[in-house]
Amino acid sequence: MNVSSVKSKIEVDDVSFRYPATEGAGKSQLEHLSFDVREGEFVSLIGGSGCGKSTTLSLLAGLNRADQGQVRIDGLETHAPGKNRGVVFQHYALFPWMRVRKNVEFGIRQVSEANKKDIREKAERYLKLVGLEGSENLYPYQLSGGMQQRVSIARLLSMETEILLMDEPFGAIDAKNRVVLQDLLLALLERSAKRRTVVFVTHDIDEAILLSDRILFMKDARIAETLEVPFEHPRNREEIVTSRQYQEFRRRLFNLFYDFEGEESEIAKGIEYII
Amino acid sequence: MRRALNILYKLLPHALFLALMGMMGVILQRGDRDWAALRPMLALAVLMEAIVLLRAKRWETAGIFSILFGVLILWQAYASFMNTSVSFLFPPPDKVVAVLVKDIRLILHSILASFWLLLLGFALAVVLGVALALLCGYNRRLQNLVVPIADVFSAIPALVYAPYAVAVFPSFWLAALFVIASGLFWPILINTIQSINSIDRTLLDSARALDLNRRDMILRILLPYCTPGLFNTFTMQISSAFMLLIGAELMGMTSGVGWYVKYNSDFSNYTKVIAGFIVIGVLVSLVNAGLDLLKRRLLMWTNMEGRA
Repeated sequence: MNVSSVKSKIEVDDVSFRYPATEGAGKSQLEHLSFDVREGEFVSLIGGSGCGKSTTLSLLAGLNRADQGQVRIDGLETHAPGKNRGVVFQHYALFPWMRVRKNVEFGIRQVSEANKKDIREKAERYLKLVGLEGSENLYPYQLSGGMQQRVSIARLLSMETEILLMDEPFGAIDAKNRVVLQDLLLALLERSAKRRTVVFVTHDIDEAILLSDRILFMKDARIAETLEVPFEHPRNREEIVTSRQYQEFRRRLFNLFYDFEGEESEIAKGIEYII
Repeated sequence: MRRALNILYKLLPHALFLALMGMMGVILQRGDRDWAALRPMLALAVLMEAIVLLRAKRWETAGIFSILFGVLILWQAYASFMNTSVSFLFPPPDKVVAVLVKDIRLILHSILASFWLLLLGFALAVVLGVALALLCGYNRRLQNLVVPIADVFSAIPALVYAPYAVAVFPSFWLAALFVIASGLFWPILINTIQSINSIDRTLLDSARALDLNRRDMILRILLPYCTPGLFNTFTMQISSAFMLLIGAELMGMTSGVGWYVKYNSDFSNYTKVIAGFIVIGVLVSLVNAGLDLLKRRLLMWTNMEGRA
């Protein structure tokens, strides 16, 4: 796919942001951040904790407003949440007082004028898609963490927004379920009729490689490195992971993490010293 | 040995039931009461015995009813067979039970009046308190203004307003309503503001990211989020609400369970006063049970098994 000819969906243009003193003590800030996301592209923001990746996502979602510079979507400046974006977080993605079906319906209702029956059918279709048929009437607390996150993903996808913003959606899920959900997300995105534009925050290198078209490596409130992921869609985890190309690409990314992260090299030195 | 004790324990309520019936027989024989006057008490004893038989499987049944029968026997014995000079202060239980039956219409009316006053006071306090708390949740400045005021006012026991409220309001009923509502309003306001402030940032962000309108944000997100805290406040405040209710009724109302007790105390009719105690106990239990039912219904989404 020749992506360079496709227009920009999201433009982050020289954005600076600092949390207000009352709530931001110790939270990361952004300085003169710029990047583009093309239409239909899957971009991952990766980096160590405190590098500003989640903050960047909150600006794209319109939950925070840039102090300086612009966030543009489809060329229009934006600084508030909008119906063209869907967001998923690591925790508390679901409203605990709504049953599973209701949680999904509630999302659809925000972006659609359809009648109750259609919304309900759509919600059930997406729940089936993520393998939650039969759990529609349960409350979130009755589900495991992995199942709850499936519901969040069903809600996100069912809203059929052009842009999906995902903030470490699999970060709190056990290793086995994480793999299942990654494959599920990949398959759903590849199968859907129109390609969605996705910005995905993670600190998991393998996850970023498997899912993204492009990886932005963040460090100290700026983008330190941009990497094009050299795999075609549709992707197959097995094939990618066992390929030589993957090993090389992964090493490159790994070295980035290692060289840039002062703390981790300190730890490495410490370990060497002990040995 | 253990087995024998167990059997004894199970037989105890039945033995006490028979003792009580025997005592009633003696009273009838002596001619203190006629058959009609004693009928309610006999009916009560038989009803209790029936419950013992029906719920025999539960271990605690025998114990509870042994105690109840025991109290009735001692009380009846003291009131009927000891000749004390203050016997009017200690009416025998059969008379109290008879009064409960005889006054049933008035008592039911009193319960309804009290319940209605309590419900209205509660509803008023909840609606106003929650509405103001939600506004404070939206507007930090308003909150900073309201909280210190609320701290001072919530420290004043609402019952001290009572005499003044009686003077100000056109009727006792309105004065009582005011006292109950203002007693509950401040704690509900303060607790709801606190629970809105403690809302999880990510939960709030999830809601904001959905681009909800203000109405949905309040009714679908903030309000349900506050309900568990609201119920905790209810549970904590229910006993003080009853105190306010009874206090308000004692001060000059002409209906309600508190009034029933006060009115009969004025005539030294302690039989009816004691009957009033029992009625208040029943009312409080009913309200608590109702609150519990409502809680179960509305808070199904919280992990209640985990907390119980």
